[in-house]
Amino acid sequence: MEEFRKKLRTKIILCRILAASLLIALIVLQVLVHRGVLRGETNMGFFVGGITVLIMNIMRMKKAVKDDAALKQWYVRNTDERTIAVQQKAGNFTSLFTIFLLGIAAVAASYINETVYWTLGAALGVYLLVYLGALAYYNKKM
Amino acid sequence: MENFRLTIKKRIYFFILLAAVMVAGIILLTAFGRANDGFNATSGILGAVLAIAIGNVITAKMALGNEAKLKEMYIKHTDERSTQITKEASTTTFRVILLGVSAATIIANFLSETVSCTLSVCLAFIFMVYIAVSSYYNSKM
Repeated sequence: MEEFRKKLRTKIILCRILAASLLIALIVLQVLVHRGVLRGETNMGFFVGGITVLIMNIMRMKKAVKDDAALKQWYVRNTDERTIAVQQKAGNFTSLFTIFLLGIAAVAASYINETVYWTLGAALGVYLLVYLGALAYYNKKM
Repeated sequence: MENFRLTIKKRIYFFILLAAVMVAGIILLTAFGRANDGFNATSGILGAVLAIAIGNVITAKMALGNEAKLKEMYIKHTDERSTQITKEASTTTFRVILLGVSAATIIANFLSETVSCTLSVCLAFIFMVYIAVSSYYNSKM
Protein backbone atom coordinates (compact mmCIF):
# COMPACT_ATOMS: atom_id res chain seq x y z
CA MET A 1 0.00 0.00 0.00
CA GLU A 2 2.96 2.32 0.70
CA GLU A 3 4.10 1.92 -2.90
CA PHE A 4 0.66 2.94 -4.12
CA ARG A 5 0.78 5.99 -1.85
CA LYS A 6 4.12 6.92 -3.46
CA LYS A 7 2.59 6.50 -6.92
CA LEU A 8 -0.30 8.77 -5.96
CA ARG A 9 2.15 11.42 -4.73
CA THR A 10 3.99 11.29 -8.07
CA LYS A 11 0.65 11.58 -9.87
CA ILE A 12 -0.24 14.64 -7.78
CA ILE A 13 3.04 16.31 -8.77
CA LEU A 14 2.45 15.47 -12.45
CA CYS A 15 -1.11 16.83 -12.32
CA ARG A 16 0.15 20.04 -10.68
CA ILE A 17 2.78 20.50 -13.40
CA LEU A 18 0.16 19.87 -16.09
CA ALA A 19 -2.33 22.29 -14.52
CA ALA A 20 0.36 24.96 -14.21
CA SER A 21 1.43 24.41 -17.84
CA LEU A 22 -2.17 24.75 -19.03
CA LEU A 23 -2.62 27.94 -17.02
CA ILE A 24 0.62 29.42 -18.37
CA ALA A 25 -0.33 28.42 -21.94
CA LEU A 26 -3.76 30.04 -21.52
CA ILE A 27 -2.25 33.28 -20.23
CA VAL A 28 0.41 33.38 -22.97
CA LEU A 29 -2.17 32.71 -25.70
CA GLN A 30 -4.52 35.39 -24.31
CA VAL A 31 -1.67 37.94 -24.24
CA LEU A 32 -0.63 37.04 -27.80
CA VAL A 33 -4.22 37.38 -29.03
CA HIS A 34 -4.67 40.75 -27.30
CA ARG A 35 -1.41 42.05 -28.79
CA GLY A 36 -2.53 40.94 -32.23
CA VAL A 37 0.29 38.43 -32.75
CA LEU A 38 -2.23 35.59 -33.10
CA ARG A 39 -5.52 35.89 -34.91
CA GLY A 40 -8.63 34.09 -33.72
CA GLU A 41 -9.80 33.17 -30.25
CA THR A 42 -8.28 31.11 -27.47
CA ASN A 43 -10.44 28.08 -26.78
CA MET A 44 -11.22 28.96 -23.15
CA GLY A 45 -13.51 25.96 -22.68
CA PHE A 46 -10.71 23.45 -23.22
CA PHE A 47 -8.32 25.17 -20.86
CA VAL A 48 -10.84 25.88 -18.10
CA GLY A 49 -12.27 22.35 -18.38
CA GLY A 50 -8.83 20.76 -18.31
CA ILE A 51 -7.63 22.82 -15.34
CA THR A 52 -10.87 22.15 -13.39
CA VAL A 53 -10.61 18.38 -13.95
CA LEU A 54 -6.95 18.41 -12.92
CA ILE A 55 -7.64 20.42 -9.74
CA MET A 56 -10.50 18.08 -8.81
CA ASN A 57 -8.23 15.08 -9.34
CA ILE A 58 -5.47 16.64 -7.25
CA MET A 59 -7.92 17.28 -4.38
CA ARG A 60 -9.25 13.71 -4.51
CA MET A 61 -5.76 12.24 -4.62
CA LYS A 62 -4.61 14.45 -1.73
CA LYS A 63 -7.53 13.23 0.35
CA ALA A 64 -6.63 9.63 -0.50
CA VAL A 65 -2.97 10.13 0.47
CA LYS A 66 -3.97 11.50 3.90
CA ASP A 67 -6.89 9.17 4.70
CA ASP A 68 -6.20 5.40 4.85
CA ALA A 69 -9.80 4.37 4.11
CA ALA A 70 -9.97 6.64 1.06
CA LEU A 71 -6.59 5.32 -0.10
CA LYS A 72 -7.84 1.73 0.16
CA GLN A 73 -10.96 2.65 -1.79
CA TRP A 74 -8.83 4.35 -4.47
CA TYR A 75 -6.52 1.33 -4.62
CA VAL A 76 -9.41 -1.11 -5.04
CA ARG A 77 -10.96 1.05 -7.76
CA ASN A 78 -7.66 1.30 -9.64
CA THR A 79 -6.74 -2.37 -9.46
CA ASP A 80 -10.25 -3.81 -9.91
CA GLU A 81 -10.04 -6.23 -12.85
CA ARG A 82 -13.64 -5.61 -13.88
CA THR A 83 -13.09 -1.85 -14.17
CA ILE A 84 -9.91 -2.40 -16.18
CA ALA A 85 -11.71 -4.87 -18.46
CA VAL A 86 -14.60 -2.42 -19.01
CA GLN A 87 -12.14 0.39 -19.85
CA GLN A 88 -10.21 -1.83 -22.27
CA LYS A 89 -13.33 -3.10 -24.01
CA ALA A 90 -14.79 0.39 -24.30
CA GLY A 91 -11.47 1.77 -25.61
CA ASN A 92 -11.18 -1.07 -28.10
CA PHE A 93 -14.70 -0.60 -29.48
CA THR A 94 -14.44 3.20 -29.56
CA SER A 95 -11.12 3.05 -31.45
CA LEU A 96 -12.37 0.71 -34.16
CA PHE A 97 -15.76 2.42 -34.45
CA THR A 98 -14.09 5.83 -34.73
CA ILE A 99 -11.74 4.64 -37.49
CA PHE A 100 -14.72 3.22 -39.41
CA LEU A 101 -16.86 6.35 -39.01
CA LEU A 102 -13.99 8.74 -39.79
CA GLY A 103 -13.59 6.91 -43.11
CA ILE A 104 -17.28 7.28 -43.94
CA ALA A 105 -17.32 10.91 -42.78
CA ALA A 106 -14.25 11.68 -44.93
CA VAL A 107 -15.97 10.21 -48.01
CA ALA A 108 -19.16 12.14 -47.30
CA ALA A 109 -17.23 15.36 -46.64
CA SER A 110 -15.32 15.04 -49.92
CA TYR A 111 -18.57 16.02 -51.71
CA ILE A 112 -19.34 18.91 -49.38
CA ASN A 113 -16.23 20.71 -48.15
CA GLU A 114 -12.60 20.11 -49.12
CA THR A 115 -11.16 21.49 -45.85
CA VAL A 116 -13.33 19.19 -43.73
CA TYR A 117 -12.39 16.28 -46.00
CA TRP A 118 -8.65 16.90 -45.57
CA THR A 119 -9.04 17.40 -41.81
CA LEU A 120 -10.92 14.12 -41.40
CA GLY A 121 -8.51 12.34 -43.75
CA ALA A 122 -5.53 13.58 -41.73
CA ALA A 123 -7.20 12.59 -38.45
CA LEU A 124 -7.87 9.12 -39.87
CA GLY A 125 -4.28 8.79 -41.07
CA VAL A 126 -2.85 9.82 -37.70
CA TYR A 127 -5.30 7.51 -35.90
CA LEU A 128 -4.18 4.53 -38.01
CA LEU A 129 -0.50 5.39 -37.59
CA VAL A 130 -0.78 5.66 -33.79
CA TYR A 131 -2.77 2.41 -33.68
CA LEU A 132 -0.19 0.53 -35.76
CA GLY A 133 2.63 2.00 -33.68
CA ALA A 134 0.91 0.93 -30.45
CA LEU A 135 0.32 -2.56 -31.88
CA ALA A 136 4.01 -2.91 -32.78
CA TYR A 137 5.06 -1.61 -29.35
CA TYR A 138 2.83 -4.02 -27.40
CA ASN A 139 3.83 -6.90 -29.67
CA LYS A 140 7.42 -6.33 -28.61
CA LYS A 141 6.64 -5.60 -24.97
CA MET A 142 4.18 -8.42 -24.15
CA MET B 1 -12.62 -26.97 -34.81
CA GLU B 2 -15.83 -27.65 -36.78
CA ASN B 3 -17.41 -24.56 -35.24
CA PHE B 4 -14.42 -22.52 -36.31
CA ARG B 5 -14.72 -23.92 -39.84
CA LEU B 6 -18.35 -22.74 -39.90
CA THR B 7 -17.28 -19.30 -38.67
CA ILE B 8 -14.71 -19.10 -41.47
CA LYS B 9 -17.36 -20.07 -44.06
CA LYS B 10 -19.67 -17.34 -42.75
CA ARG B 11 -16.79 -14.90 -42.94
CA ILE B 12 -16.19 -15.83 -46.59
CA TYR B 13 -19.85 -15.13 -47.43
CA PHE B 14 -19.64 -11.81 -45.62
CA PHE B 15 -16.51 -10.70 -47.46
CA ILE B 16 -17.91 -11.83 -50.83
CA LEU B 17 -21.01 -9.72 -50.13
CA LEU B 18 -18.83 -6.78 -49.11
CA ALA B 19 -16.72 -7.13 -52.26
CA ALA B 20 -19.88 -7.25 -54.42
CA VAL B 21 -21.21 -4.08 -52.78
CA MET B 22 -17.86 -2.34 -53.34
CA VAL B 23 -17.74 -3.40 -57.01
CA ALA B 24 -21.30 -2.13 -57.50
CA GLY B 25 -20.33 1.13 -55.79
CA ILE B 26 -17.28 1.59 -58.01
CA ILE B 27 -19.29 0.86 -61.19
CA LEU B 28 -22.07 3.27 -60.18
CA LEU B 29 -19.55 5.92 -59.22
CA THR B 30 -17.63 5.58 -62.49
CA ALA B 31 -20.86 5.70 -64.50
CA PHE B 32 -22.58 8.61 -62.75
CA GLY B 33 -20.23 10.33 -60.34
CA ARG B 34 -17.10 11.15 -62.33
CA ALA B 35 -17.84 14.87 -62.27
CA ASN B 36 -18.21 15.03 -58.49
CA ASP B 37 -15.47 16.55 -56.33
CA GLY B 38 -15.21 13.52 -54.09
CA PHE B 39 -14.85 10.95 -56.88
CA ASN B 40 -11.17 10.23 -56.22
CA ALA B 41 -11.59 9.91 -52.45
CA THR B 42 -14.65 7.67 -52.65
CA SER B 43 -13.31 5.42 -55.38
CA GLY B 44 -10.00 5.12 -53.50
CA ILE B 45 -11.69 4.04 -50.27
CA LEU B 46 -14.06 1.65 -52.09
CA GLY B 47 -11.07 0.16 -53.91
CA ALA B 48 -9.14 -0.30 -50.65
CA VAL B 49 -12.11 -2.04 -48.97
CA LEU B 50 -12.53 -4.24 -52.07
CA ALA B 51 -8.86 -5.25 -51.93
CA ILE B 52 -9.14 -6.06 -48.19
CA ALA B 53 -12.30 -8.13 -48.80
CA ILE B 54 -10.68 -10.11 -51.66
CA GLY B 55 -7.55 -10.68 -49.56
CA ASN B 56 -9.65 -12.01 -46.68
CA VAL B 57 -11.66 -14.32 -48.97
CA ILE B 58 -8.45 -15.78 -50.44
CA THR B 59 -6.86 -16.31 -46.99
CA ALA B 60 -10.01 -17.92 -45.59
CA LYS B 61 -10.44 -20.20 -48.63
CA MET B 62 -6.80 -21.30 -48.37
CA ALA B 63 -7.29 -22.07 -44.68
CA LEU B 64 -10.42 -24.12 -45.39
CA GLY B 65 -8.54 -26.23 -47.92
CA ASN B 66 -5.53 -26.86 -45.68
CA GLU B 67 -5.90 -28.36 -42.18
CA ALA B 68 -2.54 -27.01 -40.93
CA LYS B 69 -3.35 -23.47 -42.02
CA LEU B 70 -6.80 -23.71 -40.46
CA LYS B 71 -5.23 -24.77 -37.17
CA GLU B 72 -2.76 -21.89 -37.40
CA MET B 73 -5.62 -19.48 -38.03
CA TYR B 74 -7.61 -20.94 -35.12
CA ILE B 75 -4.66 -20.47 -32.76
CA LYS B 76 -4.18 -16.91 -33.96
CA HIS B 77 -7.87 -16.13 -33.41
CA THR B 78 -8.09 -17.67 -29.95
CA ASP B 79 -4.67 -16.58 -28.70
CA GLU B 80 -5.17 -14.56 -25.51
CA ARG B 81 -1.93 -12.65 -26.01
CA SER B 82 -3.06 -11.29 -29.40
CA THR B 83 -6.43 -10.27 -27.93
CA GLN B 84 -4.69 -8.52 -25.04
CA ILE B 85 -2.28 -6.75 -27.41
CA THR B 86 -5.17 -5.48 -29.54
CA LYS B 87 -7.04 -4.25 -26.48
CA GLU B 88 -3.99 -2.51 -25.00
CA ALA B 89 -3.12 -0.91 -28.36
CA SER B 90 -6.69 0.34 -28.83
CA THR B 91 -6.85 1.80 -25.33
CA THR B 92 -3.48 3.55 -25.74
CA THR B 93 -4.45 4.86 -29.19
CA PHE B 94 -7.71 6.16 -27.77
CA ARG B 95 -5.88 8.14 -25.06
CA VAL B 96 -3.19 9.46 -27.40
CA ILE B 97 -5.80 10.54 -29.95
CA LEU B 98 -7.89 12.32 -27.32
CA LEU B 99 -4.85 14.34 -26.25
CA GLY B 100 -3.72 14.91 -29.84
CA VAL B 101 -7.10 16.02 -31.14
CA SER B 102 -7.56 18.34 -28.14
CA ALA B 103 -4.19 20.00 -28.81
CA ALA B 104 -4.90 20.14 -32.56
CA THR B 105 -8.29 21.78 -31.91
CA ILE B 106 -6.70 24.51 -29.80
CA ILE B 107 -4.00 25.18 -32.40
CA ALA B 108 -6.42 25.01 -35.34
CA ASN B 109 -8.61 27.61 -33.64
CA PHE B 110 -6.00 30.24 -34.59
CA LEU B 111 -5.62 29.00 -38.16
CA SER B 112 -8.96 27.85 -39.52
CA GLU B 113 -12.37 27.87 -37.93
CA THR B 114 -13.60 25.03 -40.16
CA VAL B 115 -10.75 22.72 -39.14
CA SER B 116 -11.20 23.58 -35.47
CA CYS B 117 -14.96 22.93 -35.63
CA THR B 118 -14.41 19.61 -37.44
CA LEU B 119 -11.91 18.45 -34.84
CA SER B 120 -14.16 19.60 -31.97
CA VAL B 121 -17.05 17.59 -33.39
CA CYS B 122 -14.74 14.56 -33.77
CA LEU B 123 -13.63 14.92 -30.15
CA ALA B 124 -17.17 15.27 -28.84
CA PHE B 125 -18.25 12.27 -30.90
CA ILE B 126 -15.37 10.10 -29.60
CA PHE B 127 -16.24 11.09 -26.02
CA MET B 128 -19.92 10.34 -26.50
CA VAL B 129 -19.23 6.90 -28.01
CA TYR B 130 -16.76 6.08 -25.23
CA ILE B 131 -19.16 7.09 -22.46
CA ALA B 132 -22.06 5.17 -24.08
CA VAL B 133 -19.95 2.03 -24.60
CA SER B 134 -18.51 2.26 -21.07
CA SER B 135 -21.96 2.46 -19.53
CA TYR B 136 -23.11 -0.45 -21.73
CA TYR B 137 -20.24 -2.69 -20.61
CA ASN B 138 -20.69 -1.53 -17.01
CA SER B 139 -24.26 -2.75 -17.01
CA LYS B 140 -23.44 -5.89 -19.03
CA MET B 141 -20.35 -7.16 -17.17
